[in-house]
Amino acid sequence: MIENYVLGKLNEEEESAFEEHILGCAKCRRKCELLETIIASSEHRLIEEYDTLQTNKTKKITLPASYKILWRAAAAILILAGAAYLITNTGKFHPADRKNQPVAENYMTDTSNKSISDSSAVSIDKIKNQEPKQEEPRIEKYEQEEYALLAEAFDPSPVFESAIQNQLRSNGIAVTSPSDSAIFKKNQKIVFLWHTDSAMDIMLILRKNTGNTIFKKKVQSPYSKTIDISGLYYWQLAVHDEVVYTGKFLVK
Amino acid sequence: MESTDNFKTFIAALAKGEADTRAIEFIGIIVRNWCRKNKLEIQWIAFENMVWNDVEFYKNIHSAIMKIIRRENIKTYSNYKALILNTAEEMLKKGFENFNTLLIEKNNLAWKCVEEQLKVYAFKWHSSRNYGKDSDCHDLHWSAIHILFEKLSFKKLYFRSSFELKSYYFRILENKMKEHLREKKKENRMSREIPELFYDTDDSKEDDLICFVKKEINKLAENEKYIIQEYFIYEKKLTEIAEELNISAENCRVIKHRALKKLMESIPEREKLYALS
Repeated sequence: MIENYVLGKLNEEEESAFEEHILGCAKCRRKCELLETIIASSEHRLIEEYDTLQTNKTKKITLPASYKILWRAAAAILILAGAAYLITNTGKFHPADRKNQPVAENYMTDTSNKSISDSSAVSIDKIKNQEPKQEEPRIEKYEQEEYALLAEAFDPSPVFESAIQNQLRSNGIAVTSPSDSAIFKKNQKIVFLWHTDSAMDIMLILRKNTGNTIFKKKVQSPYSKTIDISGLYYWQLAVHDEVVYTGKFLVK
Repeated sequence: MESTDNFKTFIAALAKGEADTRAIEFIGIIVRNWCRKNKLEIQWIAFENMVWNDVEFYKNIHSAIMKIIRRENIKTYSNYKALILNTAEEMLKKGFENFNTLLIEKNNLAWKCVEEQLKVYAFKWHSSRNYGKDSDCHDLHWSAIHILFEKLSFKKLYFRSSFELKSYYFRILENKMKEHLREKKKENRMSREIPELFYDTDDSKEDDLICFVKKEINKLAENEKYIIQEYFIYEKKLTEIAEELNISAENCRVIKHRALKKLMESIPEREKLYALS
């Protein structure tokens, strides 16, 4: 009866009879409220379920880039450990024979250099992951009078701003459009135009100022796209998961 | 004649001032039921530039009714119910007008209320239409909210009821979905994450009780969760769910009953929300 009442399956008479009953029955009143809460919670859970699916999906896409670095680091450590083992063991069992040592040493230095250069070329993706923790642009619920959504959509991101300032000019890519001061209207065609010396597979990445990727695709110059939501956008060109150019534009 | 006695006892207790909490609880149940039927939102009301929570609303209905009860003699339950619903309707109408003004004035709390509630509806709508898990519900919802925000704040739109506002939102959402499907045919997107346009949704604190019950539901067995979801959210018949799960309808009923019992027992006693201060 309570279930049918909450689901609106009772006719008027049954409904009135039930309501008159709950007027005097605290237990049924409580059950009714609990059931309403359970239904509301189940509805909220739908979003969570969807989010979990989405996170898994996103993970599948983003993991390879970060894994690459992890694998490289792990490989470097293994090789180092292996080399160290070889050195100590060869030293133990064949103290006179030093043939392997220089090779191992060379290899060691090579790998360590490689791992350093790799870590210096960490893609913006990794930095992006750390960014929200430092920044924390949270709005306290019920506290701010103004719904500061528009202002937030135009907040510059420190990570991308520094990436724009510090990027090397001689990276083999000459970007023509859009310039960093470009302002577009909503649904206006934005043309991404650049020139490269060699035929490289270039990935165009569009991000919101929060760092979220809204577009990621291997494209050829020129490439055009429209955006229907106003805000500050960052765009990046990446070759083999390494960002080679970062730019920005506004959509108003 | 038990029911009539129930009402008489209740009115007598009310006159002595002993049944206020009970009356407010009761008003809550029947007003929520009425709003569910008329697709209205109790949370979307405001008075004196403040967004009201539902308990405040019930308390005010109760005090308005008490003034009438003291003046006039309410004899039957149907009169009492009609009185509650009329008062609720009037207050909802006025409250929503004020709420609409707050939305136009870009009030943060009002927009949060709207966004959070519409998000639930959007996801329910999305999953019931089998658009698939690939289409970006978050993205579509935010785009729709963004358009709604712009329309409301710049064009100063006034809706007559929360139902109209919801219909308007759903029209936007539906158009967005069509647009999205067309776009999807054109290009196969490699990655499309959820844009956080206004605020981080993970940070929004839901009702504590709802959070608690959500955790409790997650603790249930998969079939229990599935039955609760399909029966209460999508309002499927038990026989249909039983067929899907390849079990008997009776078995399905028992599983649902046990799951509900587990949940109800797990929920702690609610604080004395309804007590008049």
